[in-house]
Amino acid sequence: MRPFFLSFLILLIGLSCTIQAHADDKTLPVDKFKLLPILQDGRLKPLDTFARSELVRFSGKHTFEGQDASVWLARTIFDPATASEDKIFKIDNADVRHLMGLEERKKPLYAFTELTAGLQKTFPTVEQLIEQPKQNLSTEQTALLTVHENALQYTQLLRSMSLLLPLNVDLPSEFDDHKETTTYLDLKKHAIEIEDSIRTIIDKRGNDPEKYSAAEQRIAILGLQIRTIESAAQGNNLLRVIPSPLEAGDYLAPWDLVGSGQATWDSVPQIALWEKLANSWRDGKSEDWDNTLSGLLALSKTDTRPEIFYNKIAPFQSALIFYALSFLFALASMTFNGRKSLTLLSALTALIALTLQTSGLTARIIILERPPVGTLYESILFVGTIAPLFALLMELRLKNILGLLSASFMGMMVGLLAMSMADEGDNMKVLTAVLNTQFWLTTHVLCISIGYGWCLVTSVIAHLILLAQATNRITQDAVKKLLHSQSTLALTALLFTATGTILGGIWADQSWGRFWGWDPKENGALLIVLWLVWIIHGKIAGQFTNLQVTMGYAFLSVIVGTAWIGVNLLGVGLHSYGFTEGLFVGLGIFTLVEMGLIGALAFAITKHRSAA
Amino acid sequence: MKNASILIVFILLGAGLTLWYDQDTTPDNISAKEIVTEKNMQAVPDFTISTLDGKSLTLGSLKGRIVVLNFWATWCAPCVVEFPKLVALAHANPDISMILLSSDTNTEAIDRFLDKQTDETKTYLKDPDIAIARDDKRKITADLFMTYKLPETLIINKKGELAHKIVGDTDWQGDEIRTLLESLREK
Repeated sequence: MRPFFLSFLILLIGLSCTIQAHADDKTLPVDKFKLLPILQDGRLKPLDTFARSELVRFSGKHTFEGQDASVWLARTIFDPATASEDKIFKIDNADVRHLMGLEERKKPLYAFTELTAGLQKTFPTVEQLIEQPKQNLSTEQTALLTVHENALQYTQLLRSMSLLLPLNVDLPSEFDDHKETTTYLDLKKHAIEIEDSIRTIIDKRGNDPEKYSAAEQRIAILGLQIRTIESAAQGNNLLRVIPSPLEAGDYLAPWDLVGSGQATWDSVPQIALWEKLANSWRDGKSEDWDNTLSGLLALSKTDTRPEIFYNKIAPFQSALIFYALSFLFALASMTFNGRKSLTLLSALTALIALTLQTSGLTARIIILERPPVGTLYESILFVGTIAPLFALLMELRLKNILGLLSASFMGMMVGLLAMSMADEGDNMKVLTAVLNTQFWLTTHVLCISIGYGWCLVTSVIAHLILLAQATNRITQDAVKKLLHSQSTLALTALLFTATGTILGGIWADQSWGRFWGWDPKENGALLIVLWLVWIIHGKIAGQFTNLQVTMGYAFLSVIVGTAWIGVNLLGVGLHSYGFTEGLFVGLGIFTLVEMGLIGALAFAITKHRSAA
Repeated sequence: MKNASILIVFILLGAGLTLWYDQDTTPDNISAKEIVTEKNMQAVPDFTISTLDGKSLTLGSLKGRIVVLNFWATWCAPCVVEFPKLVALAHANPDISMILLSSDTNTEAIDRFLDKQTDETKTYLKDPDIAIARDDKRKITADLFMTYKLPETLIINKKGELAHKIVGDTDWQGDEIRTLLESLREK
């Protein structure tokens, strides 16, 4: 960590004096730019995704002052001197703002140039903080560390193309290649001669630059500039956009390519194109910009268009809106005694939402080249798609709007849960080694996720039965029908969760050498199975009344919540890839609300019955 | 129950297909990696140098021989250390052509360096398969090969393709190099 901070400090000094500032604020079209592939977190993604996730990291938003994130990225890497004035650093913590000496604003957004003094001021504190375990840090300390980490990441971005950008240098004639602009790479070619010249000057005049002639001073400054740029770029490997000529599938950042010695003659056209791209951006030459991007895309063997499409339509967020509309239409239809037009509208909007989600899942399968569920977040997306689908299938059979109501309600709720679980930025993660198997991801993971989906449908239907009975808005015949459907749903849920749990055991046996280890995740899966078995047996044996059975099925939402998300909060066991935090309070409130709601509905039903 | 049976059949079908796909693709993946490596062997671009003894040498003229192209300089400590070892390697392997391309700014520095070499190295340097040249303005080193850190060595196979790149110095008498050269001889 320390060398990074040091290079960061060097950058603070070097930033203002080396790279030429670009005066105009011309914005070129970025449609092709965002298609360029970049290797990050183990996978190739379009620059569009990278730009969005970086911007979200700094500012919490996907756009900057109404501009596409890719425009911001292009400015940041090609015109760093101008970009460092962009107010993108969101600092919500008032104590940190005070500590860094930042002025208070309506929106706490700051430019990198505004942060530099505060970063230097708080640097000694941060040096101490990074030595401490994260769990011992206060909220303010964590926020301060985050600001410094973000600033470091930002400096990497600012410097990522600095070896190709025109420099503000006064070139002595002997080192002048008569190029229109001089870059670090041009200077580097003369580095040996420059060093030789400096050595000769020092031998002749000593170490005091004041004794040097004007020409000698220019050479000394040139040497210093080369070293400053190099020091600031140390370890700069964030922007991995250039294919490695030596290792197929690997991509390198420009500085890494040159510094690691992995460049070959094959890298020359790539570097030349990136330099041309940077110049055309800075000069606002749209034709050059477009042609160079076409050249770079022609060299790229990766098709990033599916991901661009995915980013553009934001299927899961869009689906949420349609589910909300569907829910409102379904409610209105119920209010107006099942008006056909409203029911149709509700069905149509739910279908649009489902289509969006299915396209989203398909796009993720294509992009990630694996089954759709590999992380907790992805399981929420998947369940958020299949649970409404099952409810819609039920609606097809029952035709009583309850299926529509359940589908749209679940779509909304699970969609909101997915939004709250989404990491900042890129949510397409490369799988951890233990999960990297197509077979088990398709069988165990999908099976158990489908089981969660059926459980949720069962629970929602049970809630609706309770609600309808409590408000006395349902006939006994209709209740009978619904109870029958509820039993079928519960049996299907049991089938999938039990099969999924057994398949998980077989996978665990192959991966970890044992079928069952009483791991929290395994216990959670078993809990759902046992809960369903208990209710179903209680019903068959006549030990539970219909009301108790429905209450038990309604409470399935809490059981699923505990098994699906709750056990991950414990942070223990072998299923570490699913660990999460910060949802404890939410899950606790949900459990209490469910207990209160189910209890209250049951109380109302009992009261009705005794009154009757 | 009928619906549940259909679902089970679908799951089993899916599982079967995935298992078959997994088994079918695993061996392919391994061979694909080898093919990629083969594909990665690109033809090294041609260039011409003027050696210190005034001869002109083109890389393309060395096709059919294993070529070791070493980028070095007299001011580069690891280059200086490995220089005699490279010369010895070329002497011991007559089927190897060695090109030692220096980034020095003047020929005098190279001459001074060569004068300081041991008698054994000086004798080996008379070998016609060892070529020493100065890369004026680093046109080959930097402009053509994008080499900015010295030493760097390219090992080129008989077809004129890049077989191996070594960044920094290495043990030129070691097993790794011996095995590599053996494999290149067989191809």
